[in-house]
Amino acid sequence: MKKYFIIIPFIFALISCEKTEIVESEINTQTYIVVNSELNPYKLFAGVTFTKTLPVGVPYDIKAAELKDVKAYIKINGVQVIPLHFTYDGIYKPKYDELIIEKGSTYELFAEWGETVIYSSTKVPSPPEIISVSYDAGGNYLQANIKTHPDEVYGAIWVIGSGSAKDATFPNLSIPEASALNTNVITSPVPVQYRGSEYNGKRNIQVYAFDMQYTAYFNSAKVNVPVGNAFTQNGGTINWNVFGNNVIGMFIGVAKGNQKNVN
Amino acid sequence: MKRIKLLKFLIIPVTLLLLARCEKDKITDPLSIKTEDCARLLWYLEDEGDIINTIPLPSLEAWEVNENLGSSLVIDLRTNSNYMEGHIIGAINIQHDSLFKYIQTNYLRFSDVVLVSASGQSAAYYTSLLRLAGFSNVYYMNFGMASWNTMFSSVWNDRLALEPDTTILFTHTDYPKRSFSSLPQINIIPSNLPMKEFVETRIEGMIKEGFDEEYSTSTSNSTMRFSDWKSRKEQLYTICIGSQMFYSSSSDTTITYHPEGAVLYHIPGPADFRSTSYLQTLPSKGSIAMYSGTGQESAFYTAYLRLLGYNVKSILFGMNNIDYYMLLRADEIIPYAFQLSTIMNYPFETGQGNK
Repeated sequence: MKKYFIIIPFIFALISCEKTEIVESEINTQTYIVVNSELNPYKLFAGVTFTKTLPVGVPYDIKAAELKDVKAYIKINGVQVIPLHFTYDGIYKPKYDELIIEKGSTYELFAEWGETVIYSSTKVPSPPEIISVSYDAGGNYLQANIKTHPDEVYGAIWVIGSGSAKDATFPNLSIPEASALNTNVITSPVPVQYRGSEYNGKRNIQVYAFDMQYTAYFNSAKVNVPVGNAFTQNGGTINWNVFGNNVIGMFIGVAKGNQKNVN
Repeated sequence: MKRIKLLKFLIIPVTLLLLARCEKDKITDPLSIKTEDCARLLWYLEDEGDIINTIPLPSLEAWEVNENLGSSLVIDLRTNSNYMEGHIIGAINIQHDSLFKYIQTNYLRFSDVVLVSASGQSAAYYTSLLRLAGFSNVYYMNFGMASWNTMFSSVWNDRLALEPDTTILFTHTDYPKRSFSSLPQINIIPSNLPMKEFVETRIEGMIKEGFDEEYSTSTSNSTMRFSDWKSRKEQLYTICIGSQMFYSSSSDTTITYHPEGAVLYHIPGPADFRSTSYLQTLPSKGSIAMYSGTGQESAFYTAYLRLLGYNVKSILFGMNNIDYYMLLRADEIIPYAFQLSTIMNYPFETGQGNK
């Protein structure tokens, strides 16, 4: 009889764990709130997009995905509160479209959607300052040596001419040591068709600076990350920097540098 | 027996270990960050139209009120004895402590509701609050009963500063706004109280508390005499609201100027109290004194800022009580000056009227 007293809790414990497994499988079909915002220094704040994921098999429709009743605001450097209001297609902006993003400032996002509280924070990087550029004939990639700033990481793309052709991905991110004053950042190899002498003087490098938090997203995406679209949902293993129950997305500071010619 | 003991030693720790693991599997990291009540209040007021930064001051001149008598509801906010001595024909007498409830019940019965006080300042203050509560057809009569008939104009005539005040320094210096600071703390209790309800309750309380436009007292939460300002100016963040011309003309002329230390906040809209401009350069912990041309404009904005939790006082009668003749030196600001031409000498009635 005593055996049963001992074994029953053991079985009960196993069953309890089994139940947890069921809950996890349910989470996979959960509707997520998707938050998307890119903050570029010296540019007008483009707003934050709040949408929800649609059930599998349902064609994407912004009118079905947009959230219209989010109460959101951003807080600049822990002080200035800027309420955000719905405009269209899930985009929330300040009442007055006049907010210029400042480099080096920290922007926090606070939002409520029903019972869900959403939070994120990002520091806006400075536009990259290029010290020198070079062309690596062996690897056929372009390289820039740039000044670094704390809490920033860097990526680069090649651009032909004024942009008739350009790379769509970063091969990697340059993560400088905290004490480093400058760092090197490289592009993907320039495609064969643009390596000839007729393209001398037309090969440019463009460097992007990101808030350090972008690193986790970049690394977890595993694949080359599309330029200008940090918010593609590649699956459940991506590290986002927006927090909240069943909330995913990026609220990230990005600074695009000017194109620099590489001979 | 030994086997059972052995089983106990093995199974109980294993069971506990499994239960502990299950505890971990429950996951759900509750998000500890909460939105702030002061930010939610600002969000709500903006979402309701942000009237304070967008609309022109909702004032009507005495002639406009006179032309619309009969179609508008005119509410005389003065004491009953003042009302009995003379009031606009058809005006009803309502005291500020019952004003909110009265408007809430009756405002839809009329196309416009015009608030009239002795000088126009308290009417401007209550108009601001009522508009913030959503009553969009409420106006105040410019210069109050003083502009209706000379019988009531002493309230202004007695306050005009006809001699320059030599005890304070007037200047052309542009004083900078302060650095950004946090919004004033607001605690909404209970925390799930709908914002609309919170705002209405707060506004009703502020209207009941009143706006002392009489010049007789120096202890008012929302007003201040210029003489009191002079004695306390070192402890105050003094702001001037109006145009650049009102604040200070160009340095090669001496047309307009401001008291030493006064900082300019531009009005009218889009006013400098926008969240994206300079609202949060106002100190949330210190005391603020605000002056304008007539004191009515500053009363209007004081209402909004006090609703947000700022400790703001409106300097009564504005520049009329600081340096009257300055107002007469530029066409743009002459309308701020209370003049003989302001007084329309319209008829009035005495006694109880329609009350």
